[in-house]
Amino acid sequence: MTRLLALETSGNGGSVALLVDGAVTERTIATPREQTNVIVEYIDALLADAGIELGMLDGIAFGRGPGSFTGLRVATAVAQGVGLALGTPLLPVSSLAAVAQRLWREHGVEHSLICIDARMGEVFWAQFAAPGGEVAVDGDEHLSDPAAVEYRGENSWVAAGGGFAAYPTQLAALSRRAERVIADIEPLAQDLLPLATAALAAGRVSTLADALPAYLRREDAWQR
Amino acid sequence: MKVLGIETSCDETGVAVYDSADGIVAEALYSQIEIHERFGGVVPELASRDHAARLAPMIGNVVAEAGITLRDLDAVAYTAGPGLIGALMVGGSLAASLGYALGIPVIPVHHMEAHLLAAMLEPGPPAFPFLALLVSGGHTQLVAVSGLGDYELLGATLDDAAGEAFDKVARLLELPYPGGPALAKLAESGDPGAYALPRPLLNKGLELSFSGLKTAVLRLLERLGSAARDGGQGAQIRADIAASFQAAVVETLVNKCGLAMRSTGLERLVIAGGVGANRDLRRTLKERGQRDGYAVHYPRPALCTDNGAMIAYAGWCRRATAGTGLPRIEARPRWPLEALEPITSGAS
Repeated sequence: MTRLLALETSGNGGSVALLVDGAVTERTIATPREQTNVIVEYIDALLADAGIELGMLDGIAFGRGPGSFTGLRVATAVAQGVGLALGTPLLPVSSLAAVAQRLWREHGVEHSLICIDARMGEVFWAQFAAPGGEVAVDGDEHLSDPAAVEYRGENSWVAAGGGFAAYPTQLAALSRRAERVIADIEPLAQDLLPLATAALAAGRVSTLADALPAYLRREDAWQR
Repeated sequence: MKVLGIETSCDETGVAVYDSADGIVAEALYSQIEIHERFGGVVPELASRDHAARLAPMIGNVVAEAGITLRDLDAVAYTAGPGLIGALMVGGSLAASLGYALGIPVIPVHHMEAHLLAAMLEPGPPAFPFLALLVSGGHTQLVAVSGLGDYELLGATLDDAAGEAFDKVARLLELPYPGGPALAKLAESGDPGAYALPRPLLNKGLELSFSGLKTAVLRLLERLGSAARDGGQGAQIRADIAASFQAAVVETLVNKCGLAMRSTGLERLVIAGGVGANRDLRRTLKERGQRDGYAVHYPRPALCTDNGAMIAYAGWCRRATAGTGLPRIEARPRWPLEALEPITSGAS
């Protein structure tokens, strides 16, 4: 049976989850500031509770963003460190897809538009479909002005993510088309696990050099 | 004992392995100059991105170059501060998880302590006690070093660091990034006596100040107007300004060191930090030391600028202070040198 560790620190806090023989355990981190204090401790505690060692993992999943740049580098670098030391396969997973996965797990949502605050007056967003719980991005992940966010399709769908709270006016018309709006939702490490399991089974494993964050915001955004 | 050193506090990714029996056995350094060049200064987010992309493969390569495997390491040391918070977090996160996965101690290192210990990596290292001039883009400090971790700040800049002044004046002279080394290069073809520039606080205690000097250069350029911009004559004027500016900074630093040496009665002076690579400063300090009867130690230029070797070595010096519990990721953008605890055991 698959044994996977998952790290998600791209949002307002974060979490660490462990999958061992079909059973999922998780510890949540309350604030971004806490991430660096507790992430190694939580990994160690989850492994100890499950009675396994780091070297017994089949892979490490991490939320590769988009999200807080500083935060998602914590999960990335921690995953890289273990991958470097033990050769554990690394599995970057979209943090937007993790929110879509959580929507399916908690609310049975099959169609969603995830939109989170990207600061600098912009949002990260993508549309997801989850037929039977298998979450897949429908189109691309975007970084744009909130006014450019759209949902393509005639089916009913759920709008989710902090972007809807950060830009209520700009996203008002779009929100009215949604079946419901769940702005108060964050990606969780446990929701990386189904996507990482599928990636591992398909052999979609990253090397150290390409197990990197997906920032979406390009370097020329800092041009003065 | 073998210690891996990781440096990611600013715009250079440095990795090295220090072996207590053989010294530095492998090292690598990647400078992000090309990334920040078009912005005219370090962009913190882009610095962090590059560290995150480069560090893990770089560690693998350096360890292989040392002829060992990660399993042979006895500790991992990393720069925990001071520096850019996001950049520090990359090195700290990777160091903590690497040490945890290998089951070895993880040692947070103070970047400026590592700079002042860098001279220990050279043949004929200075004995304690000594005076250290820490001079870089972020710091200009005179520190009395009684022993490992036993530091007393005697004086520091009240405004700009010396390296910062070099960078700002380089920008006034429209020199390419990074400005400091470009200015020193230009100064080689100039006359250091061409323009009288101020030596702020020259004989007033051990405090330093460089912002007035930068303003004086600005006023001088305004006064010279187009003469400093046009043709071959303008080029020579700019070289003269660069040389005059550098002479003012060097004289100020050398005088302050002399003052500190006299007031403390110390016999050895150690130069550390990026500006310590400046040839004019090194030459003048050496001459002054010979004249006034104190030894001047400075590491080779590659050990003055940021590097992984000094972090590995400082980590080895601090191995006794590494906690035995699970590693926390430490990132302290501000971290006074005097806040460090003396090392009572474990030093060589």
